[in-house]
Amino acid sequence: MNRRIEMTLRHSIDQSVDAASCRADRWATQSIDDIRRTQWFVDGRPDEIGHWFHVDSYEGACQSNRIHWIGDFQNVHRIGHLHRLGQWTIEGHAGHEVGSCMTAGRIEVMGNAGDRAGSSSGSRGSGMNGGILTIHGNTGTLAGHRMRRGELRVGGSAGEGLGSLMIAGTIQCAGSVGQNLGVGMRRGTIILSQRPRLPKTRFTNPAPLRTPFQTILARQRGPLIESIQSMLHQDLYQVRGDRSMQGQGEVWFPAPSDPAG
Amino acid sequence: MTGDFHLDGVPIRDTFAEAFDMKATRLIVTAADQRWCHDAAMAMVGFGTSVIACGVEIAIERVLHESETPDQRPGIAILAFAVSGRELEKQIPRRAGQCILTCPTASIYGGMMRDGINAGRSSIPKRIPLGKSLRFFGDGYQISKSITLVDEAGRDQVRRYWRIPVMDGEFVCEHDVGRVDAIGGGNFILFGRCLSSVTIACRAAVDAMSPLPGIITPFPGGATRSGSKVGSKYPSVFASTNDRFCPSLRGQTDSLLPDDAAVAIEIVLDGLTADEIRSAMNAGIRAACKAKSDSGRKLIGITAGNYGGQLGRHHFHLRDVLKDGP
Repeated sequence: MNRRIEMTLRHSIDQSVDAASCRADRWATQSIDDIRRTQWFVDGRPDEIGHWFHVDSYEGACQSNRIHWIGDFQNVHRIGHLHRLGQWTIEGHAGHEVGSCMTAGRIEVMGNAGDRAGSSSGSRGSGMNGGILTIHGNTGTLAGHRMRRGELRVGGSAGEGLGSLMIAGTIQCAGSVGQNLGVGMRRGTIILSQRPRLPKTRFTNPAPLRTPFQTILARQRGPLIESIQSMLHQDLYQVRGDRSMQGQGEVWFPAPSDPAG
Repeated sequence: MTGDFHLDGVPIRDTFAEAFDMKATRLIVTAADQRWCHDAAMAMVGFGTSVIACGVEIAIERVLHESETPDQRPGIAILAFAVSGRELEKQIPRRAGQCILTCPTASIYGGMMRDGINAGRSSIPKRIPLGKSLRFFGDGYQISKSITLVDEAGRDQVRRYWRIPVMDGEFVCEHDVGRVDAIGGGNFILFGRCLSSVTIACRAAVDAMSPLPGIITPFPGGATRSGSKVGSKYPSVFASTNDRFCPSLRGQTDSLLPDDAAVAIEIVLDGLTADEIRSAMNAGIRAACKAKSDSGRKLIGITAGNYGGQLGRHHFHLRDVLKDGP
């Protein structure tokens, strides 16, 4: 039976925490006591998460397994690492590498996320490989780095290197983006709400995008970045790159008011 | 006719239509406007009347409203039937490549439903390639996109599409489409004293059946005059004229025509399920029995084609088909 696990932080976390051991797919078959005994690493030392969270469970309360983390997790890194089952909602900020190497399911961060969201992690060569990672706030550098499949949706701004070395997948970003956007991307799609500055040595000149696929993308459902969804019904432009890698990746953005410019 | 029963004064022979197992798929063709869409669909279903020589029986199922299509453009649903999955896998990519890929603005998607929901790979695992084959036309510039859609039941569905650059923008199609077991060869035969009475009854029957979901009548105008029997005096020919229904051969052959019949026309239908064929035959036969020519002439009989029940395992007895009301 599906259940909703609600985990409320008892007190703020000032130390650096590695939460990669918190796995929704394992928790799906574990009792609440077993979940409380899960160990994460606080400043490199193992500690049971039951010391940090108040845990509640609601059986059969939803269509899929859901985990809700409530609190400020900006010092908690690798939340949703290798996530592959159910939906994980973080009612607050998340640290670095949220959703790194995830392969399916959904992760939703209501606040900001740190660096390398949905990216590769440790010795793993590819970033997220499926599923949907939604960050309603801003994200740091190298979001979607080495991403291979799936969708990364950013409601705020993204730092440097968004979609760098991307292999495939889709990234949406409603705010501004930093430098080195899509550098080294081979395939995949980056959808932006504003025209980015891209080096001509790496990306083609903008060309009008005419595809019914816009409408198919616009029919996706939540959690969505509304401004991007509405933009998909408008005229868009497209560039392709990274040409220095013979890449066939693409960046979409709204049509300029003066196309010649 | 012996063993007859009557419907609206028309004798119905107490026999059955013999139908066969087939494999089928539903395709959704869309385009920027209804005319391009119609052009693409008509090309796709061309030369698709009979598996005997066309490889596939394929026809338009119905016109779709924009809200019913994946890309919210005007659309047409097409049903295709073949004797084997392998034949369908050969025919569909070939036709899509030559008829949809080539038509300006046109796109093609899968349209098989399960429990009222557009079904993906998880519910229909047997697949027919579309973009999987056609993508190579993109010469390396094609783009594959897998996106997660939420169906009407709230379940995630990952659908994979291909976007192939073409001269008007992009050709978009689904990676593959599901195929299901289906039934082909449902039929009934209309007898009349003159061509006009049979023509009017035939058109009334096809018009009554065409709005029904899950069936097609693949022959021209939904009907055929060249009903066939299995085999021939010529060893290389495996289907030949159904001489027992040919008016000009009465006396030469063991005719099944009523004494005063001058014309016989057969309506053939394929369907995704036996219930859909049964409903369509019911609607078609009832409409045909009501129809009158301008001179007030009605049909003089209706029967169904079979091979003695030895070839096809689906038997649609006309008495059973008509036992439910309209």
